[in-house]
Amino acid sequence: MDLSTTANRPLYRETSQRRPVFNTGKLVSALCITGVSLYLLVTLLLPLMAMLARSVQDSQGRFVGIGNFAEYLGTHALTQSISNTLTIGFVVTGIVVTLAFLFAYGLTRTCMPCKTAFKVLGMLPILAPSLLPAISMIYLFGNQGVARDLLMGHSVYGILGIVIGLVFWTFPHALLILNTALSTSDARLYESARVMKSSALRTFLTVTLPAAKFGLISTTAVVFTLVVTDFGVPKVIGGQYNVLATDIYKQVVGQQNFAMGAVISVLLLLPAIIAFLVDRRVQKRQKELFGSRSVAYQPEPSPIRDRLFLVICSLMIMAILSIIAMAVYGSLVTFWPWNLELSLQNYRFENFSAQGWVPFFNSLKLATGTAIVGTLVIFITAYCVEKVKMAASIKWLIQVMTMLPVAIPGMVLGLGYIFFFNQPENPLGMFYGTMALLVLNTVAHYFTVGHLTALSALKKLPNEIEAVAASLKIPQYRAFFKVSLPVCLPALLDIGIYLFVNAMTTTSAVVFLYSSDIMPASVAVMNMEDAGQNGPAAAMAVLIMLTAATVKVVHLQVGKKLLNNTQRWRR
Amino acid sequence: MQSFLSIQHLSKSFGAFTALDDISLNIEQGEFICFLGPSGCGKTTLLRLIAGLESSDQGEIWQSGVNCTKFPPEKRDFGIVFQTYALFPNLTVFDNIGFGLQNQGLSREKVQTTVAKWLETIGLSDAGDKFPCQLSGGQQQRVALARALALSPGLLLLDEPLSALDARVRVKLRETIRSLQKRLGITTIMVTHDQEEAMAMADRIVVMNHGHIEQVGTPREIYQNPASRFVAEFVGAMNFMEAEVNPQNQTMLANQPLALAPQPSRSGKVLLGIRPENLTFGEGITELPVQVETMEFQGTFVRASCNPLGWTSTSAIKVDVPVHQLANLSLHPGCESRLVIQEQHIHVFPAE
Repeated sequence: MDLSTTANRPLYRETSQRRPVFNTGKLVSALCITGVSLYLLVTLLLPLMAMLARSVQDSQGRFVGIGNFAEYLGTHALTQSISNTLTIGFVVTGIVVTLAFLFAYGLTRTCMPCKTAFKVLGMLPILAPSLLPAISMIYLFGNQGVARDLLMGHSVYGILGIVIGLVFWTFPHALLILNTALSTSDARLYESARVMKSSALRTFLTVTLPAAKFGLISTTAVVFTLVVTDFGVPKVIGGQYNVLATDIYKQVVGQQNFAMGAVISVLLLLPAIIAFLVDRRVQKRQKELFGSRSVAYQPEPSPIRDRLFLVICSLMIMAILSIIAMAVYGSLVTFWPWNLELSLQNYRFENFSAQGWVPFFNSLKLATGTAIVGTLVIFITAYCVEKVKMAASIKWLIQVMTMLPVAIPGMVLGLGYIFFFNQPENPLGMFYGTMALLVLNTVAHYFTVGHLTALSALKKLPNEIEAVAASLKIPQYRAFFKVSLPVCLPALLDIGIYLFVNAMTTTSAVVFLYSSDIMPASVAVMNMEDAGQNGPAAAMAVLIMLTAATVKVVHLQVGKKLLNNTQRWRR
Repeated sequence: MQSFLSIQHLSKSFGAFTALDDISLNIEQGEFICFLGPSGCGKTTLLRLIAGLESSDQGEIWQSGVNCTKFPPEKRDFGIVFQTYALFPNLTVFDNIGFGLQNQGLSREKVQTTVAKWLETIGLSDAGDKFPCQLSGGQQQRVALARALALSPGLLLLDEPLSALDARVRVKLRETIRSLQKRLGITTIMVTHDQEEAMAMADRIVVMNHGHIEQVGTPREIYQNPASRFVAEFVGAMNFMEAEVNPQNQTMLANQPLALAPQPSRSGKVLLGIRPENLTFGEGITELPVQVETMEFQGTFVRASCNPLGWTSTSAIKVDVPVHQLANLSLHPGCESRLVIQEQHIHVFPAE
């Protein structure tokens, strides 16, 4: 450009004369944001809206206001479920939080031996579908159970079975949070307490408990949500003890009463959302507790305490192992309780149901699809939120939608999918009854945890990476593939495995969405159990757990080698 | 002749907060410019606007005769170094510097020789295979500098590049940056809140406050002729005393007339500024009685903090006494002495 002419230009030119520069980067960003927003809208928000709308309509789709709710609350048999659900929620939460706290305390604050083994074994139940402990309960304490006499005449079908099953199944979730809460503790506080000659009990009450307070509240919220929204355990072992989650199933699948299903869903949504909000508040305040200047607490040996906790933790592990072992044993027994010969008879699923082994392979497809699609979508979403400039309102909307799934019970989401995707006028209806929809639904259901993992991985990258890349004339997508993606690889693997395991074990949402040719294994467990085929049901549940466990082991072993090659820069 | 970089009437707000208000500035080819000011003064925003990392609400930016106001960063011609280094953590030092070059489609040999040249320039020839986490902070920042310069940009932007480093490393690296900049003749803008750093490195300093430019000038001009009370206080140390202006426009300090140019002042008051090193104890034409409060040893000088006796100042008066003069003065905390003010060192500001 000729300098003499530019110098003569007026300092201010009309804004309209400014030629907008075509910008590929901006176009790609805009496409990503639109894509992510639409995806979350379709797979999450709209189905939820459809569910809410249905709760205030009658069966002909006319608006009836709170009519359905009034009808529901007027039916004693139904409202009984509310108090049942809350009872189960409080009882199980109380037990699990106490047990998991003791276990986590043993792991973090004592010098008991074999801590790693204890931790791994304590996490085992997370690999099983919630149906597994319920089936195990039948073998242990059912009418022909091996340990029926321990119950002294009480029936395991009902609140007792539900509580034991859910305690088993939610234990690892509580352990995970409490273990973190207790291990991030400032040693300086304990040193101060000792300098001030505070007694052990006093130190526990004034230092340990307050530091773990947020972890405890968070655990309570998470466990409570899991318990009140679980469907598998009460379905199998609940007997006449009805809870909201099973009521939704009965109303929708049994009586085809969709409006009432929607009403119960809204009621189930309430405690879950309250628990979620409590948890969010707590987590925001948790951050200030353990600063980078804190010194991690290292326990010192104390023979009495260490032995005490070794006994306590061993007892819990024995309980967990015996429930798993019972299910495995039950699956191997040829015909309980008449033919106790061990065989693989129960694994010949073709002898028990028309689908045979197909559900197992369906589940593998579902889990693989969920892991691949979910990891991709979750990472792109997290990248958009963290690294792409957008209007504050859109960002807020996306963030809300990414946090919402953790508060939405699977049953509720599944029902929403029926309402939204099964509308004749919805062009997306072609997905209804396909594996693709099951995948989308499962991704949406487990979105939040993966999203948070991806976010924290991205936050570890320096903020200005993209600015530097731009100054070096490197397009953002190249920087993404060469830097952001490789740096986040371990997190991506974690997310993929998390999604895989959960897709293998989930029962709740998919129970409304499957058709016979795409039935997942967890639903097959439920159906076989429904038909009185405990053996094959146990066998399928064990298969699910073994698959999840195998994937986890492969993740740890092969994944480690892979990461050693690609993450050399970490130290 | 148009300046290399010309900023015209630039404004930028974030919501209700005005970060930059009608900024105009010309920067010549090869200059080393420092944006200096307290945090929140808009210096970083101005740098980000020049880089295209933020978009302006109003005004224009011209670089090399091209209006690049609307250009995205990748269409502009600059290299940038951040306080946090922002190295690509998973790439080796070699790849960090070479990434931009490879992306330009340069041959492998060309990339190899260019990177090797830069590694030598920053004194890290044997660190090419290392990852950023294996380097010290100062070394990482040198790599970031080489990376920013590898594409031979026309403009180098430095966003508080030394703030995260230890004092000793900081001084060393600032010499490295300055000598490299002189050798390459690259126009450079550095953002800093450290006035000492700005004075040591810059050809010209742009002092900013509340989104405005307070003063533009060489370090010497800024120090010796601060344009405002803010500049006088922010750059170096300055004592402030309130003086009366009598009806004859003569400035009176502690009832003594000062040999200053007539000061027309409507309020009848002016603010006088004088640097600690320009005050002496002893005898002179204008003397002020003071009591020495405290004395801080600073190595080459002692900074005495004094309270005025029988007159007023806005705060305690600081006086820097060179160590070699100290012996003759018999100063000690609590003693009374007389301050000598020489009019040629006085800066006059309007009274508040």
